[in-house]
Amino acid sequence: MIQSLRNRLTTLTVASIALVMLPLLAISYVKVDEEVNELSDARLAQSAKTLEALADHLGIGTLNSRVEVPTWVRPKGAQEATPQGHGYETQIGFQYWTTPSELKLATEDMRNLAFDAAPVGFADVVKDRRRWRVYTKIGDDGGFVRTAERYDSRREIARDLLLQNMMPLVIGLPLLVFLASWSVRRGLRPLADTARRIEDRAPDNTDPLDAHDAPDEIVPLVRALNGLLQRLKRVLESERQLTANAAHELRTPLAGALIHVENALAADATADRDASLSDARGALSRMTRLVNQMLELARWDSASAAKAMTNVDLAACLAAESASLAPLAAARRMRVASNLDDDARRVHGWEAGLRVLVRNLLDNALRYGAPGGVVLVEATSDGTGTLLAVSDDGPGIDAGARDAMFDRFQRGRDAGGEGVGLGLAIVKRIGDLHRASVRLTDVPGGRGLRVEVRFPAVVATHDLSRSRVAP
Amino acid sequence: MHVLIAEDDPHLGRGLEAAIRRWGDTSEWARDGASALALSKAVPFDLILLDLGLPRVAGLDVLSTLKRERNAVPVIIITARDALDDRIRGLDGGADDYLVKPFELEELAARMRSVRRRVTKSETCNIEVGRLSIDTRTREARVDGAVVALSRLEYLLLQTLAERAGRVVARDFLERVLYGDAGDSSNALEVHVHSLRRKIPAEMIRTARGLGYLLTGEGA
Repeated sequence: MIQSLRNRLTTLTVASIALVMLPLLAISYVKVDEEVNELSDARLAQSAKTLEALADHLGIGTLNSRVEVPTWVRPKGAQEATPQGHGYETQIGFQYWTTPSELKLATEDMRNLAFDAAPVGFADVVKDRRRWRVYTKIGDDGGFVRTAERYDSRREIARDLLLQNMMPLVIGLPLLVFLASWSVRRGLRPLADTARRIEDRAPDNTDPLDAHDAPDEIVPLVRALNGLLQRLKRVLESERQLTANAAHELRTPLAGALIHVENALAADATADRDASLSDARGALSRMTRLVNQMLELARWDSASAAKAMTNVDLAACLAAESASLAPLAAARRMRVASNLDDDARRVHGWEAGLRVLVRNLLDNALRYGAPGGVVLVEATSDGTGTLLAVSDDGPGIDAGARDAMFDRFQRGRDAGGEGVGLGLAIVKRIGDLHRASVRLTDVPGGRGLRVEVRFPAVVATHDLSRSRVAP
Repeated sequence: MHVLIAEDDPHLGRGLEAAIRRWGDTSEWARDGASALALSKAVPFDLILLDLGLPRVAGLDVLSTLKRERNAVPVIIITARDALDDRIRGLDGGADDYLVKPFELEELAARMRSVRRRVTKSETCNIEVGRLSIDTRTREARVDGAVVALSRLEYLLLQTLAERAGRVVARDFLERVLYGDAGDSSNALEVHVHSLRRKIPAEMIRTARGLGYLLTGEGA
């Protein structure tokens, strides 16, 4: 895998050029070879005719003995063309036969080529393990002229021509690689510019990037990035809002406590002082509750769903939490009733989280239910999961205002002053960690608010195996 | 001074009530924006302490409604929001002052005194009407320099009339100030007016029949 886009583009470009050039060179070699052969054949025929004319004219047929034309063998290290001869002389030759059995004239290297070795006309002959091109012509006086040329000399011409053709390419290729790499780098500069613009941004800058400057190819990337930035901006904004809200929520009871203490210090009568101190205690305990709930929420906010879950007994959670909330229930003359199906008693999750969830649901119901009323806790199970529902008989919450109740520090419209507005946010967060949905509805056939937490049936196999191991 | 506390937090609201009572003034408490608006329409308060984070109608909306309805009552915003643009929005919205929670009671007292000076158009904490002078800090009333001994309710009645000297003060407002919004159906108000008339020059308190009472320095 080539990770660098630049290397990848350069390699692809050069490889493409090579892919086109190599077959072109091969074709060109074949063509050159053909041309050289044709040209050389024509030259053989031409030479044969010249030789025949000379033979007729000089009366070679009347010679008594055979004449051999010596060939000059080039000494090692000598040039090809010298005043004494040419290195190629051994590669060309001729014969003159007066009759098919009588060789009258031949070059040295052609003297032992039999008359029958080649037919009249052009032919390919192997002599002394070399391939020769041979042209045999019947003369007008009945003699035969034969001219021949070794193939390797022809090949050499074709090869030289090919090499000369290739030379520009061989020199040009490194240049081409360099230029392709430079062009690619230059072509990719807008990409690099965009990358630098992103890199140079302040870490908290969530303004969208300008997609107009970006090349068309990376506009989708810039758009996607802008979408991400926008989401980030919303998250940061809600974080900021949350901090501001937390400050507000803490400052108000603090201001209350401070005033009560000052009132107590300034009070003339013992009764006034005691009343102020008791109010100060009320404000401080509200603040304690607020801080506890904020820490609880922070704890579950940072909790990860990766922790191991066990089978948790909802009935045990309910019993423990309603016991700890007994003072609140007693103060409001309320009672907690439960109706848990046997197969719905166990929920897959974290016991600590589920207890906090149950506590907050009960606490809300006990706080906002009608005084002297009953809080009903139900749990049922079906194929899709387990439903935990807590209903009170208080004033309920308008359907339109229900979704907002999960927002942090959101209190019901008629909620009075004691709630801190985090209970349902905590329930929602713990529900999310359990992949459970939380919903506010009406109490069927009654008044008040019903909170439904729907836990999904356990489907993942590793969860199943774990739940089998659990008691 | 009769103060409207618009605050949803029960502890802070109760603490403000107690502090204002200790300073010798009176108050009523609205726990949400809607009832704060309704009360401010019905009762001529001298001051509103307005929390911005009110349920039903947010504090800034209460403020803009008051200003739209040309209610000239001074407003001190009491809020946990301390960002500069929050302050600017509050003051631009027509608030007279801006106090960030938590605050020292003394600071609130000082700001309330400053509002009182504006209401009574006095440079000090004293209210002077003819031969009568009232020191609102020590809660002492003097006629020609001599201290007059008054019960708590008599003092409240006198201060309320003195703060509005020369204007008729409605009966039911005086009853609200003296007895809270539960009111008192008996003729206790007349009883207090009667005893007050015996302690300060009687002709200073005039009866506007069917309407209320008026304190005047003229002819005394």
